[in-house]
Amino acid sequence: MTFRFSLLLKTALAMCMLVSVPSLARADDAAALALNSALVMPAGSALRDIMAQAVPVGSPKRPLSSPGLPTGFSYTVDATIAFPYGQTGTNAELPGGIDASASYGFGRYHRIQAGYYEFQEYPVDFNSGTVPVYLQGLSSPVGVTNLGSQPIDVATKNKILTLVSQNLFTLGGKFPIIISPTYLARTANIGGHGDTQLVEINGFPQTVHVRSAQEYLLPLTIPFVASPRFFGTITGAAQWNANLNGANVAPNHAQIFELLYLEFRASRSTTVFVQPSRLVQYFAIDPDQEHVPTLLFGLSHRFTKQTFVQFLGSTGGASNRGAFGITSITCQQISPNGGCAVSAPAIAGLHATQVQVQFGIGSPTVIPL
Amino acid sequence: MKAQAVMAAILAASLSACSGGGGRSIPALGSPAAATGGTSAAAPVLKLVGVGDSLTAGVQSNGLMGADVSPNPLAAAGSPFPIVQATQTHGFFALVWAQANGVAVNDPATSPLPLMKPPGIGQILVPQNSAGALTSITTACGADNAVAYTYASALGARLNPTTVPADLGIPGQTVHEALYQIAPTTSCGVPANAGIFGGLANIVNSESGSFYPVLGNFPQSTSQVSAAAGLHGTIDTVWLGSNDILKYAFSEGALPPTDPAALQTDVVAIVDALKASGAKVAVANLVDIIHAAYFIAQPAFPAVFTARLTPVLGAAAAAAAGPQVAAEVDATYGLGSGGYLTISGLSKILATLSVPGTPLPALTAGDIVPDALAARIVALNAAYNAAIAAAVTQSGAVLVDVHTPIAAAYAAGGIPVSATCCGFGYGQGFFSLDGIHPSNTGYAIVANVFIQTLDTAFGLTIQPVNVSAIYATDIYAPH
Repeated sequence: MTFRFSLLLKTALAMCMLVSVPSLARADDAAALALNSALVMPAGSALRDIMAQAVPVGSPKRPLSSPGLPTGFSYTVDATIAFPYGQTGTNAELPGGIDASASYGFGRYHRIQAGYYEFQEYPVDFNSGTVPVYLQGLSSPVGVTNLGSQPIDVATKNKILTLVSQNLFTLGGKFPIIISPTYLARTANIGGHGDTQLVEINGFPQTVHVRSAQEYLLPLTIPFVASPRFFGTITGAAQWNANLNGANVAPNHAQIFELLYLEFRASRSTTVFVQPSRLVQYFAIDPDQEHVPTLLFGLSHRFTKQTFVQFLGSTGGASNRGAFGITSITCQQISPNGGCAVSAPAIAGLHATQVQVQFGIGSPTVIPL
Repeated sequence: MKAQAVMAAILAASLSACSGGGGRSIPALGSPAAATGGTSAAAPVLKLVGVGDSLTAGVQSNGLMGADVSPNPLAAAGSPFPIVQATQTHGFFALVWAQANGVAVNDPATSPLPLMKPPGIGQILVPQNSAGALTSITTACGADNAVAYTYASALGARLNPTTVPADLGIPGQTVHEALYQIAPTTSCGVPANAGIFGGLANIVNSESGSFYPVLGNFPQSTSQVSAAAGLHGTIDTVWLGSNDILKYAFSEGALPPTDPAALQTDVVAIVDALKASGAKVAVANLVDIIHAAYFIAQPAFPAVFTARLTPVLGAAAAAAAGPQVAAEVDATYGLGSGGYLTISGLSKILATLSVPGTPLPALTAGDIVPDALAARIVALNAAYNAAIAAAVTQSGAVLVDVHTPIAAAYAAGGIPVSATCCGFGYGQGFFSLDGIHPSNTGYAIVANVFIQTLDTAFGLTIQPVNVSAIYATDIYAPH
């Protein structure tokens, strides 16, 4: 027990508590974009060619002398601009980004690829709404704060590296599948800084990399439709966290993600596509895996054989979290002036929606042309 | 709104500097944290570990001190105390540990207590003169207290800095804080009421000032429960929850009270963590906080004011004036028969009465407890005891029922230790000078409740404390 003889809490707590937090954000649909680029498109490209030969559709088809994975060296480079949507709560702006990939096919059955992708997003509910304010150690909130009163910059540039080994198999000599063992490593810049952040996890303040992760994946991609106009694949993958850290120290069981891709070729140079998926993400801030239903959709147009533009919409958010963005703020230490010297937000799931425009050159494996 | 905008700017500026920083591993709730500095003072017969607040720590008279100050520096000014007595060695945990192990707890070489150097942590109260006015021999943020807020220097506040203590009670901590507090939340010298969190600084300053001196032998960012788990005690005592009530009471209800369900969840988590470390766990329930001497019930006002005015006015005049003052206090502060005045409020009123013609002072949170708040405190106290009982059942711990015998004694008007002791009113022997924490005799009575329960539940043969012998030298008890 302890006591003090005089307190003026009532006045202090009657005030609306204005508390701000440092920049941070974390996962939503960036991984879907990376997987699209690193897995779906290369696999789909090969499958499309194979299916064009294996499954006659009645329209003139392209003769293939050696159906299989592309051989030799190929590359792509593009620059992107992006625009956020949703309850960002501020005049959110996103930085530009670049993507680059290079691949080499050793033959029709085996190909390796390395890719680097930057995806921009601005997650919602970091700068809007009212959340409770806690003092570390006390179980009841001591006030509330309006997140919109002190907007923070959570413009996020995800940086994703993928290393993929693509392997083509044909079942019964007719039905092609592609198995692509993959290593994925990601980090991010948030608000122009790194992704290291003090956050409140399970009642304790922890400094973690909120958007860094490393994963192993074992995807299997199969076609489900192939015609002159339509082409689609289904990808399922076992996925493991390659680096247990932070709060994410739960038993590292394999998680399954599912991804469906469907494209419509409007012309020889223009394609419309949609990609619903359910991804799994492991961040240091997540006590357990984050399940992220995601939808990608867009239109790509090729100007010449080596130049293209793509308009890409994407939206996604964690389905196994009760809320999005900042859900509370905990003051860790009261400053000498009576403010808060150190604070840590608690973060639930992330949700973001954005449109990205890509201008690229090279062999377009980044976009579904 | 302007003030809010200014505060927001201050907060934003302060917070912008706190992003980033070094990473560290995330502690599992209550996971054992082995001590990194020091060794156990003695190989005990029974490895007892104390988890708790100021009651477990052994606070008396608003301070925590591990050795006597002799002579009392205020004795020359008329203070009736020949010494300023150590507090920690008179706490209930110290007594239980000494009875169980037969080792002196006041020797820094053998003590299981984190003995604080005089003049101690906090501001220990001492009678300033023969009239009983209280003062302290230390300042709120003097050198002895300031050193305590930094991990690197906090053990400098200890008499036994290389001893890993078995008594981990941290004064001021709530149940939740025992689990989740891993660093001080205030620094020394926070202005009492500055800024948004200024009022809160008052209410969490006690646990902030004593956190590192108690847990300084463990890795930084260790909670009390994790430290206790790291000691792998044979029997761990847990006595927490009083501050959950006091923080609510002293904020005059402004600080939201701990939800009893949340308190139960936390107690279960504490017991689970301690049991996982190999300990048997005994959890104590709470005494009725509102019955502490610090709170003066409204029906007692006439007698209290009469007694306080007697030395000044004489018995006859005081007998007439006391009820009049009591009635004026009732009317001024709107206190009904269920309301309370605190010792703090009483002191302010008496100071005013010494100046004829001065109106009664404005009282703030911590000075009075209006009827409605008092009723909520009583209900909360009962709800917490129910939650503790449920948590004990849920977790398979043993309940130390401190509440029942103390409540019975309160109803009976006191505990007959001698012809003059011990009542529950201020200065009547059960409490020390702060009116909240027990006297030596009070702690001895509580220690015997623990000993009896431990003996019965765990088949031990710890001998009870000789209360009469402790009373005989108790400076806080009337003789």
